[in-house]
Amino acid sequence: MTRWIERWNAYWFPKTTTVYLGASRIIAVAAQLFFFRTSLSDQIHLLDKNPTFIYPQVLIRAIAAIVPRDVVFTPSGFTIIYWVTMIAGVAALIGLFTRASLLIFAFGTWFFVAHLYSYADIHHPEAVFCIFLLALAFAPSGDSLSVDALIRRARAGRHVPEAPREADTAMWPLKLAHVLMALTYFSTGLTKMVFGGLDWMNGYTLQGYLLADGLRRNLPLGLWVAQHHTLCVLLSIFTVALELSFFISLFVPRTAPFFLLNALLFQIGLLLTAGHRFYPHMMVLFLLLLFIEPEWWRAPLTKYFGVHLPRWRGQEQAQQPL
Amino acid sequence: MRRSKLFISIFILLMIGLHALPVILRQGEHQTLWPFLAWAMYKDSRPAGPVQAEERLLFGVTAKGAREEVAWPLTGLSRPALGRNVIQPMLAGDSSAARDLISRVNIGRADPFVEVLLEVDRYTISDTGLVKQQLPVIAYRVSPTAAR
Repeated sequence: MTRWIERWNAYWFPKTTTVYLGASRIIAVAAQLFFFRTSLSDQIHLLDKNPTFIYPQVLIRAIAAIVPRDVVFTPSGFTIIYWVTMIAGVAALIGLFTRASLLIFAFGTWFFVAHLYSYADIHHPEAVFCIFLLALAFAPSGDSLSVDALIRRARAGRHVPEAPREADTAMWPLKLAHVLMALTYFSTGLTKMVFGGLDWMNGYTLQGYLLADGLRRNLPLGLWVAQHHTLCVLLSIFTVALELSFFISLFVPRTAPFFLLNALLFQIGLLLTAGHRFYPHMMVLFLLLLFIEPEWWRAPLTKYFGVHLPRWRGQEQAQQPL
Repeated sequence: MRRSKLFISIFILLMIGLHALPVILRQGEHQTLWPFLAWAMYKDSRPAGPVQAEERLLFGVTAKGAREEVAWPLTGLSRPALGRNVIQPMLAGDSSAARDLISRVNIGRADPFVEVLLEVDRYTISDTGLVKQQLPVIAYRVSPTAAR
């Protein structure tokens, strides 16, 4: 049992710099605030057009069970929640009262996405990203690159920049996102093989999906690819191979950049050919590509440009496979 | 193990473990456990043979005779939900779906819709490109008094 706990700790809790976590917080919160943010008018439009939820998400059901629908689920209720979420988002971005503001921001984001998906329609793009946002609230996300850090330094009477802080809880949100990504890709690939079988890679299947999506969303590239059978066979094989093998990046950490880059290209391909706007999913992949195994960009930076970033102490520990 | 690590470990296990719920509950298209979802997307295959897909467009005719496209943002439903809850039942001959649609889109309209038209174009991939075939228009009419 002790050995298992040690292995668990070695994987999830290596002592690392908190700079990458701080940078992840800034990028993820900025992306949510400025690019992925839900439109308040769209949310109110849903309320106006639908007197009841169609298939309410569990979070919405829980809130509606506690607070009457005519208190929270009204234009004024939504406007208040929206602005509280936005203010919390700005505070989380600059790192002011970081944990509390991240928690409010994450829950506000969860609330609006769950509401959006309570009317007979549900999609996947925000799921892992939103779990990551919530995870950031339970990690030392404000220890570096934050107003909280500046205040802490000022209170300590230091006026020179301090060395990057380290913590053994600074890596797990990224690792959790990595595990969830592997889980989702594997699950998607596995269901293709269980329900579609090897026929999923016969080319006709992908042609059909791309044709339908290309017509529905008016995507010339998707319609063009749909008309090339051999290309569709190759892309189908790539899709299934990537989805089923992505988890290898958990067990062989050095392969992570390869798999993450391929997954990012895969999502960009899906966007261009089928119109699947998995932007939050792509953002998680991008953050993982930057910070889960950063040697791939740190080493060339040092070698070719002479930039010497402070060594990430405990980096070897952080590279523990699952 | 420090208390915070114990708490985080429970959180991690919960976030991973809860992903099993939608699979166990088999909620199909109507998943209600967001963000814990089954990721069975585009899972079905199709056998070798002609590849076809349809483009479906909804139009409404107002009481004053104007014809307008009923795009999904007008309806308060997303595009996939509109397809599942309105277009597919209409294709199957369910007139209540059209009535429901008209009552949705007429909220706050000065010139209400009284008729809904479903136009379907079928496209087939051929050696020479995409071949388009127009299917007969499906029309549902609602009385002007019932249209609001």
